[in-house]
Amino acid sequence: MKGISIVLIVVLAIVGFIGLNSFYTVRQDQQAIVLRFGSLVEVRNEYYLADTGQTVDEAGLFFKLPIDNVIFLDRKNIGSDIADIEVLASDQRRLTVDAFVRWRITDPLKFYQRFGSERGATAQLQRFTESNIRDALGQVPVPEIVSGQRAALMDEIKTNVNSALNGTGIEIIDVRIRQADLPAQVAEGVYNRMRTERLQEAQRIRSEGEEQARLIEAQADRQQTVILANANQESEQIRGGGDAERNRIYAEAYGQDLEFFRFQRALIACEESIEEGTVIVGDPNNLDVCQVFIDRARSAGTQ
Amino acid sequence: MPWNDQKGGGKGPWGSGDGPNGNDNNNSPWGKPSGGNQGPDLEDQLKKVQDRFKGAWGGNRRGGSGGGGGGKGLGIAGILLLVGALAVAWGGTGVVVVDAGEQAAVFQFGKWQRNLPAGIHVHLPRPIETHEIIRVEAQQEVRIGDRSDEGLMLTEDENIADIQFSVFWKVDSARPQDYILNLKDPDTAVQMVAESVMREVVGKSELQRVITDERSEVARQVREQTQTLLNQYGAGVEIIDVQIARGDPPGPVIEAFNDVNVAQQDAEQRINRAQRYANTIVPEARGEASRILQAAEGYRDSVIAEATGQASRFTQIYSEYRNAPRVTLERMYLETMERVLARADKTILGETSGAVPYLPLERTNRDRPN
Repeated sequence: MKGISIVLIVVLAIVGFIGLNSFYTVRQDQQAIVLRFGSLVEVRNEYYLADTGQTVDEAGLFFKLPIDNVIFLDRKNIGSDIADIEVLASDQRRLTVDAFVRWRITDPLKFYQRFGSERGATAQLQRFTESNIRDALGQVPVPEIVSGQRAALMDEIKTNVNSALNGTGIEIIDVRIRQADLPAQVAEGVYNRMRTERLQEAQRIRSEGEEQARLIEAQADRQQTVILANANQESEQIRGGGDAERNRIYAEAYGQDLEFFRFQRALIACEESIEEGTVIVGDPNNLDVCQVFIDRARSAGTQ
Repeated sequence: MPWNDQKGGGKGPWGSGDGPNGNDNNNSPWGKPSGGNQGPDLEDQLKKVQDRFKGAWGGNRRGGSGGGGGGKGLGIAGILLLVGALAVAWGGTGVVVVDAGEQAAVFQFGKWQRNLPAGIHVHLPRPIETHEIIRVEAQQEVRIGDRSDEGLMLTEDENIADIQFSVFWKVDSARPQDYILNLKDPDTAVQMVAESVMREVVGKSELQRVITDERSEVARQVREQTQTLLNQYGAGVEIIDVQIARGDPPGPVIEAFNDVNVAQQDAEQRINRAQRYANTIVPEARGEASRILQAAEGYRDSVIAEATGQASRFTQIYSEYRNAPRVTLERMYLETMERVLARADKTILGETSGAVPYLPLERTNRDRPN
């Protein structure tokens, strides 16, 4: 009984071992190549069929011989970073570029033969992409890289890397410039320019403020002058009108009898010209001080 | 458990399937997977099970010596119990509890089949079907521009802007399987793509706009373009929002930029001062003008009044004169002389005195101010 069970255990173990090694699962995000002593048996769930270019979708459980070796490769979109590429643009200015490339394995067999592993592929891919970026960006001036043709440049790089990697089982999905910066000393120049631009702008704003302020002040001054001049003019007119009216009134009144007017006015003049305390030195027979005024007025009137 | 390990390749599938099938063999169901090269813990387990079975057999023997077939029944019951327990345990690998905000993607031999919403679900047991739980609704945040130079970006007018922004994203709840199947390291991909798009958008904008009025427009473009690109990759990611936390001129020039703001305030201040000046002198001038006019009118009125007064006085005196010319002339003359001489200091020199006239000059100056 004990002997039988030991034999059974051994037999079942062997059967189990063979059974377990006769199947393999390919996940949807994997592709697999099956090798028998190094030679290809089959490729499962490859991204593209090598001859027709059709996408395959055959994840699942597959049969193999226990001696067959299965190599799994990624079917996902893989990202690789390429940092600090020194680029000399066509305008002889330098840029430091960071980029990343998205790629995938489309032909697992070729990929395995060429690179062996993802890590080996990444290193080569980075080298290819880096030199292609340097070439492509070297053809155009900096402004084109920064803004103008960025998308077109990245497309060009993608095409170039793709053709360089043709036949290696790799497809480049996308190349994108993540960062394109000026080296530190160039950036300093940009900062200086930005600073002077800003300071000029500040100066312009201040000067324009001054201009506007002076305009306002000048307008105010002009208004002031005009107001005062108008007022003075009107004032003179009013005064002149007053004087004219006075003369008219006098003329009307005095015109009634000029002789009498002279007499009366001479008396007023005399009275007003001799103030309190005026010293009069004279002959007692001839103290007619006002007679002088009357005589003068009469002689002026008759001339 | 070793047969859960899919990555090992082909050794999984039948590892546990042998358990229930192998019930013709009493003490071996656990033995099968050990045919592989699995770890020592399995051997321990094997030993334990074997020990237990030995105990069962031993009981049987003891029962045989003691009292017949009842012992055999116990053995079969034990085996059935064990097989049942194994079946339940195996079936248990097909039970999945999905939490709120999660979905579970179910794979059959590694091929995606369906997504399970929140709740408890059953799928075929391992290794036929497996599942992966995805936190679909959890919002993730990627911050870019925190490190010193990371936020510096060239603008279209060849200036440099310093931008720090956050990308909020989550797994696309319509296609969560894409998130785990299509991209290697999708979280980094989101960051890389967002950063590259941000630089591209900023590279096509002028500095002044990026740091002032177009900030939200830049954020919107970055969100849209990042989403488009990730969709092209089939990333299964939904960008919820892009927020620009900081959009400034870079540190070394920020002072010059602030000076522009100061200049704007200076200019406004200067204009206000001018306005104040204008607001002062113009009304003052108007006031002065009124004063001048009032004075002129006052002059006119006073002159006219005086003239009218004198004229009327003259007219009155004249009418008196007309009534009695001689008398009036005499009277007027005498009255005036009376008033004049009464007021003046008089020194009267007699014609016959013969003395040397002595003018009292100190008296003539008597009342002068000095």
